[in-house]
Amino acid sequence: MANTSGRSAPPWRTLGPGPVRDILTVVAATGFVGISYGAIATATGIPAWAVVAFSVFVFAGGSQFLAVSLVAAGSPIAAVIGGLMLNARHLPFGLTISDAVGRSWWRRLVGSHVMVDEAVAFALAQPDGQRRRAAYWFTGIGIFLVWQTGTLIGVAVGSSVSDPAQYGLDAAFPAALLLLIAPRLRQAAGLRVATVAATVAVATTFVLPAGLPVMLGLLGLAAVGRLPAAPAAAAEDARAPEAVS
Amino acid sequence: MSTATLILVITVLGAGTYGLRLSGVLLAKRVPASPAPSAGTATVPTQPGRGSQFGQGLTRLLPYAAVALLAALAATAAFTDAGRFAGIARPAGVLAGFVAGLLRAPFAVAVLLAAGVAAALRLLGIH
Repeated sequence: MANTSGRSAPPWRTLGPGPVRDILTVVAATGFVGISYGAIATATGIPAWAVVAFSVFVFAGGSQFLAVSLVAAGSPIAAVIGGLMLNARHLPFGLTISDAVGRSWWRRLVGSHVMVDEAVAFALAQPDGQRRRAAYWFTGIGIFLVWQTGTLIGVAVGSSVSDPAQYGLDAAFPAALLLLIAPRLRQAAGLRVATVAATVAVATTFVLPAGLPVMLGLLGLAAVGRLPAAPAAAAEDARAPEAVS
Repeated sequence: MSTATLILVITVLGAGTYGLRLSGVLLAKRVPASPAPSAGTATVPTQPGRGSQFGQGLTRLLPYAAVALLAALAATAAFTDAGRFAGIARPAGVLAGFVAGLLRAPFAVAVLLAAGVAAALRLLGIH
């Protein structure tokens, strides 16, 4: 099911052992974050059915942490607005990796729901369309499954594993994201864009509400430089696989 | 918090988030060529008829948009926590993992190193 190319090869065969191991590592780490989400949310006093419903229907870790803490603080409207701002980045994500999601209606409808940062990043790191599709679906479905399982375990254990920082899991997520875009940071334009985006986002985090700083990271696009004319661009595209490897 | 309010929050946030995800995927169809982020072998050639300069520029810009968003997300997640500095242990761990990755350490090793360094620093009382 995860393979969207219309061929029968399962995604792990399309991707090969290296990327599959990388994806499973991130999926496993996400499972632990799911456990801590379930435990933290339960500890705030939100009923178990709601903790699980957030994971199933919203399925976006950062906004879930934000929403449960604001709901617990008695601000349901702020929870909705803050969560939606935090998730606004998914719109440009969808623009970028729609080819990895697929073309048929059910693939777009189902694939959109499993659009998480890690699935976008792994898809982006693949060299061709077929592997991008495989990486996107394998990561997205894998993370969906462990996120629900982790949430249930977290709810069950309550507040006993409430601090993911103790195991350094809070450092694993940004490190994984950086490593996934590392090939693009080796290109001058990619490095300029990323540097400006990161600087703007961190600088504005202290004054703007959650979510907006990440969207402002798009200002980094101003640093991409002049877009090459079509013939030169075609030549650049032809060289790109080496630059990405 | 009443049950009705809780259901409303989950419904609106869930539907809104899904709407954001789906609208990006659907709007992408209006961009002439496939974004093809890595410009690999499966790149769909730009159709000359529909490929306006704006469309071509947008197509070329989109992969950088994802890089910008992911870099911004990684940086804020590494350095900040709920609008405050995240301390020393977390960015130090992220840096260790990133450098290990640049030095060709396997992805899993680099990610585990990031977590390990952050956890070890906290164990030593450095937060």
